[in-house]
Amino acid sequence: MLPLRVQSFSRLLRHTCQSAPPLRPRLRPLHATAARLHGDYEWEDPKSADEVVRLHVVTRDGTRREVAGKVGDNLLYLCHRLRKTHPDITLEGACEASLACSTCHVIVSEKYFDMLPEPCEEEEDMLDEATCLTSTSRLGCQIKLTRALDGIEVTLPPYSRNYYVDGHVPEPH
Amino acid sequence: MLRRLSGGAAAKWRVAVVGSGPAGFYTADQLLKGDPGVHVDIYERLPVPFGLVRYGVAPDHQTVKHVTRRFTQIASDERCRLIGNVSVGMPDPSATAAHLPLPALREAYDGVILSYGASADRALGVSGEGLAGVCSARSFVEWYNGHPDGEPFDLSKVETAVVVGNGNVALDCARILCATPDELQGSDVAARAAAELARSSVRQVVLLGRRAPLHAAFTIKELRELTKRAGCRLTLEAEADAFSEAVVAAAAREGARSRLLELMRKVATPADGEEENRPKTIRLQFQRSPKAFVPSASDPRAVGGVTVCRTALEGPPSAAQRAVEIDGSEYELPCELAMRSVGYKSLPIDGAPFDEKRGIVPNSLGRVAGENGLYVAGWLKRGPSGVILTNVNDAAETAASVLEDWRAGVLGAARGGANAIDALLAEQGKPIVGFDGWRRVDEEEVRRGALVNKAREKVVSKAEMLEIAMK
Ligand SMILES: Cc1cc2nc3c(=O)[nH]c(=O)nc-3n(C[C@H](O)[C@H](O)[C@H](O)COP(=O)(O)OP(=O)(O)OC[C@H]3O[C@@H](n4cnc5c(N)ncnc54)[C@H](O)[C@@H]3O)c2cc1C
Ligand code: FES
Repeated sequence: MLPLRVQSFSRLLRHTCQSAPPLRPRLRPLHATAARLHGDYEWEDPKSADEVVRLHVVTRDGTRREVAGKVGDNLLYLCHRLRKTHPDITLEGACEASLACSTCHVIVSEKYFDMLPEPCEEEEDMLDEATCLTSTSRLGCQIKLTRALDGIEVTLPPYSRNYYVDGHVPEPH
Repeated sequence: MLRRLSGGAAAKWRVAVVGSGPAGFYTADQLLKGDPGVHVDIYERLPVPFGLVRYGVAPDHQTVKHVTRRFTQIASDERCRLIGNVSVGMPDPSATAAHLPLPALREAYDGVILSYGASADRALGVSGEGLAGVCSARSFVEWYNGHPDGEPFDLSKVETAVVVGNGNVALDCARILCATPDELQGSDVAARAAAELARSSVRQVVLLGRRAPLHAAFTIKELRELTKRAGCRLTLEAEADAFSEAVVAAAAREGARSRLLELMRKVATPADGEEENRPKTIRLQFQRSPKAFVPSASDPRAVGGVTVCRTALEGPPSAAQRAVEIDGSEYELPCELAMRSVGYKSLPIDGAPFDEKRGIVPNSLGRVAGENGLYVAGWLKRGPSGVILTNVNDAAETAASVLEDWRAGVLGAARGGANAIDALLAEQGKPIVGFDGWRRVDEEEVRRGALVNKAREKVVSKAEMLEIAMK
């Protein structure tokens, strides 16, 4: 039988990237419906100063960028906008926030990770396919900026050169 | 016809990409973003782009196919062209496409990136593989996805289908074999497949895995989807120790596998009351290996069953465990259709090195060994596994190598130039499809699809594709 504790600690053990934040256990996800946003909203400028949410994006080569979005922005689409001014903020969104890829995978700093609503089961499933998974990994397309997240740090996982560093060699797809 | 090389004066150097799948498009994107002076031409053998996103990804996984909008955006860059219906390095067997030898391309461009994917499949190497009714998952996938080379399938006499293999492709095939017409609404399943599936007599699909649940190659998302089908029951048959504490611990060492293993355990032990009668069953069976395909009693040319051998696993539970066949454990599993889903395979093209054993173009960080200005990306670079995400990572690596070489002055200025290629193509008189041509096919498919409640109705014949594209 599978002891449940092992399962809830599973993500603890799949840490595969050196630059990732330290590990910690996490609780089982609750089920929630995925946000589906179109991406236009992110191109609107904040209407007032208190809508502004500051964030630090650590790019794939480790450079730290101080940027800003606004309350209600979807992190994936915000990154698409930010790429215009910061070409190294590269976050794909292959399935357009449909929870069918994990190209929008980001690593959130621990303090802010705890403030995010729990991921839904589909998000957890897609995270399992991400490279460089850590205990504070999330899908960028499921993160919506709020006032409380002001100062959040998100790391774009390095483009991994070794896809199955955890030793699992999958059979051909 | 083809969009002219716009901003020709601005283009300082030119790169050719061979193959318009995810690897080709993502590499093009990284190059275009990485250098304002580069121009990228993407060559594609078929009249239509997107590779396995169109012809591999399952028709009921439309959200995965959203990525084509991203590719469309990349192709809209003035410095990027699609050059479709041109086969590079090997003449098109159907003689529909024009042919460009690789050396000609290397003459004309500063750099050439091979990302032509994997267009063959691996065989099992057991007897009876040539019987009618034994096929590759690839041919089945091409059939339901409307690939122009797809062969016909007759499901009217199939009760049991066996799928050898344990990856996402195997699950795709099983799911489509059991799909109800309702479940295919909104998809882009080929009309020929939709009609055949509607009259299919398939009652069960048996998936054979050589090793244990711990080693299954499919991902949790694909498995979970099968647990939620209205018309189809999912069962899992494994050895008694398949979910032992030692196995659980081994899965935990590998991180992401824990949740998958737990889901499999749940499937293996259905709760009371889940025995209700759904018309179809998908059975995941583990530690079984096919020894031979045997002919049917009524038709010696057609398959009637699979001889299956049970296997034992060596050593303590781990990802690296090997399966060995147990002598004398063979039994016959009757079936009318048998598929091998043990992997796609890349083929060599003329003018590029190829590692037969690994089935890839040998490279280091995407640079083809010993070939200045030649690069590789995607399935051809690392073997036929991984999802779209893997191609993003991988394309970034190859593009970085190209950009690095360009900046270091290693790439010679193209000698032949665009005109030499234009002349070679014009000589052959074949229609060449640019992205505008594809847009016309796309619009027509979506229009036809709307009439039948589908995301698109794919045009299957190359001749018709070309007719629409060249309007
Ligand atoms: C059945 C199946 C289902 C899949 N489902 C999913 C999924 O749900 N989610 C996911 O993320 N990934 C999925 N994948 C994986 C994904 O499709 C691959 O990772 C990806 O397509 C590989 O990209 P590629 O560009 O290397 O190759 P391909 O996509 O195969 O592209 C290669 C292109 O090159 C062209 N070409 C071939 N030879 C030549 C030549 N000589 N000259 C010019 N052009 C040529 C081909 O026509 C093709 O268009 C699936 C794969 C398969 C097989
Ligand atoms: S964009 Fe595909 S899961 Fe986020």
